[in-house]
Amino acid sequence: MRTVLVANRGEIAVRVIGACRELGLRTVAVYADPDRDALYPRLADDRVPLGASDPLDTYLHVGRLLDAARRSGADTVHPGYGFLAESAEFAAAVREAGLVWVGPPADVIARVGDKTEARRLARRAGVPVVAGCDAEETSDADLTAAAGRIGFPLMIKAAAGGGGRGMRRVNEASDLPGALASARREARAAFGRDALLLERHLDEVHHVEVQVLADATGVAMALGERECSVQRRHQKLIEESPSPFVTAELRSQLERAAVAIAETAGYVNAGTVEFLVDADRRWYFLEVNARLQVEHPVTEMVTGVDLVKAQLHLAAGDRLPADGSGRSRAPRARGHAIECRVCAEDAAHGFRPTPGPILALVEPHGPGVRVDSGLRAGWRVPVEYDPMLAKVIAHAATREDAATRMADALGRYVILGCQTNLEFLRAVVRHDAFRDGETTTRFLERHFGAWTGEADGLAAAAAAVLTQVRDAGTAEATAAPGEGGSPAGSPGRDWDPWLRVGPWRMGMSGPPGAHE
Amino acid sequence: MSEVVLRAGGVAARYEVSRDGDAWTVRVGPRTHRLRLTLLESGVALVESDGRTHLLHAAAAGGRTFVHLDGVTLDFEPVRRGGERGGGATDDTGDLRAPMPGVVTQVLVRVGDTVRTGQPLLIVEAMKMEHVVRAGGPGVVRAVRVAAGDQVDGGAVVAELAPVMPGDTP
Repeated sequence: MRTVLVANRGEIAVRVIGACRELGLRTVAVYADPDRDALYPRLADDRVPLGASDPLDTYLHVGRLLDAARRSGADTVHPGYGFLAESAEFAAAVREAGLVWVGPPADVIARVGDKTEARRLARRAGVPVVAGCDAEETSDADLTAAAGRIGFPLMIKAAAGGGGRGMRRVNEASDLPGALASARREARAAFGRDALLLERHLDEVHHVEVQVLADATGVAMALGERECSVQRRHQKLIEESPSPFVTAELRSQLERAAVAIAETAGYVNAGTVEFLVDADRRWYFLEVNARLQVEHPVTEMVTGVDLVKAQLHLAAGDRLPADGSGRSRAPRARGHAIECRVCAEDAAHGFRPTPGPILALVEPHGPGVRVDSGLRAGWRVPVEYDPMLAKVIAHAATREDAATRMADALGRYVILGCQTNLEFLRAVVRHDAFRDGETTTRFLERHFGAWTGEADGLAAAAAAVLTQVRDAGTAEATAAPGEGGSPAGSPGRDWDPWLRVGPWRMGMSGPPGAHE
Repeated sequence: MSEVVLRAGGVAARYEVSRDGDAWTVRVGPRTHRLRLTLLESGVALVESDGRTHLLHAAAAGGRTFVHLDGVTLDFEPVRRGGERGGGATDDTGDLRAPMPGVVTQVLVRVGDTVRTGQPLLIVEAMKMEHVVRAGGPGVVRAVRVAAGDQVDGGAVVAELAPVMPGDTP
């Protein structure tokens, strides 16, 4: 293993490139046209254009990705998350091309990546599952019949799915045909496959998942849980570890179930087993994610394990440390970590996407603050891909301190030009219900359904002053061109004192020292 | 004293701005802010107010100005005195706008079609998400400005509806 091709984009490409750099591995980035000016291609040792913008022709195109690996001399492929990360076809093609695949073997991906198959697997491992349809029920007619059996409300899910794509909540039978058609379209666009399954909708639950590592000798270990219940549009927005809802007893039950599923599936590399936990702490298997998770950093912060480096080690054939019984001992978790997903979206208007240019960028850092970001000033957030831009992770001794640290970090994150959900995230982590750990899947609709924004008092007042100074400056510069009245030295229509000049104090007649 | 009008999110607000030496007073509605501003470098300033100092970041592009202070990001257009633009809100004219920049994936109606409230008219996709543009009220499709496959800007008019008034024969 010498050269790793990162078959992904954005913040996860940056993350994987960083882990490779620490291990002394050479990296190759691939990029579609809209990502030419993105951050990650600049951080890699080599970069290969994919020559198009549609995901199907770029980050989802097996042939082009393998061609890029060949041309750049890569011997290893890391798929990141999303796109082809859980494609058994891609994993197999990578192996057939003689390259190392950083993830589980293709047959394991096929087994656990199909949600219907995974349900069967969980039952075999003795793990409870949510009521739903069977593997044989695939056509719209089958699903409609199954829906009658399962009852409403129910969830439609893409069998190949993840990230909320192709997922619909259906409240009554008359909505089913339209929802099925729409879910199939979205699933096909996102995964290249439109198979769906149905599950009973559990109204108010906690979404808790267990991080698993497994080596090729069959040793598997659990690295604690992540609480991922704060969601919008069935997509996670805020995650944390440990869960404020999970007791020590429940944790050990979930960890045992996750390891049992990994062992039954013959799992190798890093993976995640997701569960739903209801108010009475009854729990059900939900799905297996055969890849690195977006929210992996919270586990890294509390366990000290670098999961991307662990993936690379496991892909290279390294073993997990095992004790005499063949079990591996997980490191003890320390403190509390919270992650917020920074997205280009309008939280006050249905979380609709808001792609746009990055005019200015200042990212927060400091003790216990980590930012995994794909942003670069001068790049334009494209319309073609996922709206997630970056993740802020705060780690502290207690949950309360981590939440306070998170709110402060979000407040210092400056992204100008492209609307984001930063203000919304900050309002959420400051909310009493979040502080009290009431993080169920209905948290956002219950507490933030009518959110329209924060009070903008001082920011707006400062904006008014800046506008006034600019208007006055423009008038002055226009009235007396060339008289040296302009600190910028470029009087005219574009003259803009507060965006262009050096240090001076507003309200004085010139730069500091000019009128002493 | 000067008056500054800023439009943000389709809403215009009036600010009375006055200056005394290097201190500014801004009145907006019932509130009064007193502040001092020091420009540090292009697009970065210090704002002192009420005994606290805050970092301010600003950038401008395409007639819009962006300001960030203490976790609040504003996106506004200064409204020029004497040259105020027309209303902006076109909800009652029957114009239907793209909710976000994206690609039109399906057009579900034709000119002349009669539509009911909430009926899906077309589908715009961005960032792998579908957004359905629906009729805001009953009406007749007067114009369809886009076709499947077209790229549209957020806020662009994609279709026009002639509203059906109460008493009209549908």
